[in-house]
This record gives sequence, structure tokens and C-alpha cells, in this order.
Amino acid sequence: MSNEAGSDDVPESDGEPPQRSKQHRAANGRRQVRRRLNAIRHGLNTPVPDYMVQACADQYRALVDHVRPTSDPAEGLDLVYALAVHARLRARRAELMKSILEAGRSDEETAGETLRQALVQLGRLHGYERKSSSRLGGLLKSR
Amino acid sequence: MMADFDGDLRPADAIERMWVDEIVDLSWDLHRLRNTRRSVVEKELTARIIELLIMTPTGERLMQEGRNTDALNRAARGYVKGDPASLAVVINAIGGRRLEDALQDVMIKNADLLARLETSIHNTSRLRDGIVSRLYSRRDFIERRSIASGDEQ
Repeated sequence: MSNEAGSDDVPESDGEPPQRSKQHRAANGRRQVRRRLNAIRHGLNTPVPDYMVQACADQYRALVDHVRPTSDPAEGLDLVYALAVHARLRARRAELMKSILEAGRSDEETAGETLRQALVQLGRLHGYERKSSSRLGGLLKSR
Repeated sequence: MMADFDGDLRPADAIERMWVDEIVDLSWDLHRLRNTRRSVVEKELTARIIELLIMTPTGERLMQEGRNTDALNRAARGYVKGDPASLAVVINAIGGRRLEDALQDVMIKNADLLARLETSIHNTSRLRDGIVSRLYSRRDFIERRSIASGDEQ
């Protein structure tokens, strides 16, 4: 196509700039957005509610007490939050494993599809678990 | 399993306790996933063997003796589980070649599911191994730090 204006700029009409796409153009940007949206859609990258964080602080009291003398309060909060995220992922894994076990034992015709769906979700969960485990490992390594 | 891992890894503090608990959980998951993989193949193969067996004279005889398909089911399940008596009955009735073909059919029909199970087993195993390695690397770190602080004193 020839550019009549003789410039690389997109020609303006009526003095207003044309509507430009707000989406990322580079593959890297598009990938980042897709990941973020996937994480929200799976419900695994949303903030952990306070009550769950509190429950984790109680559940891992011994661990938090073990870490407290060698960390500042901010790091302690980070640790409790990371534990809550990790606990949420573990709970999700337990749910999926339950469905996998039930579908594996069931003789119903839909069991194969249920099993397949649960395995797809377990595959997605794996990436989040790896990151969460790595983050916890980093926070606890020198404690 | 918990006792085995506790005995092998000997968690020394609350952090190691958490990692060991997680290693045990993931080992259970691995065990369950492998069981599921086996049960998928067994279930399908049993159904396929019943289909094949019912068309043979042995199958007809088993049906007449039991007046229903229970005897057929028992023979097919016994074959899949490796029961010697059932193995003999089913192999004689159907033939080794057709049984191999049946197994191949089952594997092809369930290829997608079995591949997904294989991936989940691989991922879970990697996750568990990662935690074991984290546990040992933390121990090394603490040991090196204590040696260094001993040297300083």
C-alpha cells in the first residue's frame, strides 16, 4: 500500500488521533497479559483473604515462631502470606486429587472426561505450585 | 509412609517438618496417580476382554454355568490382575495374539488420558524432588554457616 502523506505516521482525520489498539503488540507483552489473565481466571493468583492468612498463621505457629527471632516483622508477614498462598494451592491440589481418584475408580461413562478435566487443571496448578514452593524456599533457606 | 519419611529425613525443626509433610503428601499423590493410571488400563482392558470372551465357546459355557455375566467378569478381571487360573482360561479362549491387540487398542483409545496422567506423574515427581533438594540445600547452608561462625570465634 502506498502512503500518500509521504510519512510513516498514520494520517489523522478531523484533527483527532485515530483509535489505536490498547493491546500489547510484542509477543512478550501479549504472553505476559495472557499469563496474568489465566492466573486470575484460575483463581490462584488473586489475593488470599485475611481470614485464610490468619488461619495459616495459627496453623504454622511453630514455624513462624521458629523464624521470628531471625527476621524483621515485614519478612514475617511475607512468610505468613507466602504460607497462605501455598496452603491454598495445596488445598486445590487435594480437591483435584480427590476428583482424580473418584473418576479413576468410577465405572460411569463420564468418568473419563471428568478425569481428563481434573488432569488438565492439575497441569495448570503445577506452575503455580512450583513458583510458590520456590518463593517459600527462598524465604526459609537462611532461617 | 509418614514414619518412613520421618525416619529417613529426620526433620530437625519446624521448617523441615513442613517440607517433610509436603514430601509425604506429594508421594501419596504420586502413588494415587500411578494407581489411577493402572486402573484406567485395567478397567478398559477388562471390558474389552469380556467383549472378546463372550464370542468364544468358553465364554458361552461360562455364561451358561453362571446364568449371567458374573463368571465372565471374574475371568476377565482375574486375567487383568494376573490370576494364573484366569490367565489360562482367557488365553486358551481368546489367544495371545488377540489379547495383545486388545491391549494395544486400549492404549490407543486412552492415549490422551494416559499421556496426561504421565505428565502429572512427572510434574508431581519433579515437585517432590525439588522440595527434597531444597531441604538438603538448607541443611548444607546452615552447616556451612555454623562452621563459619565457629571459625570466627
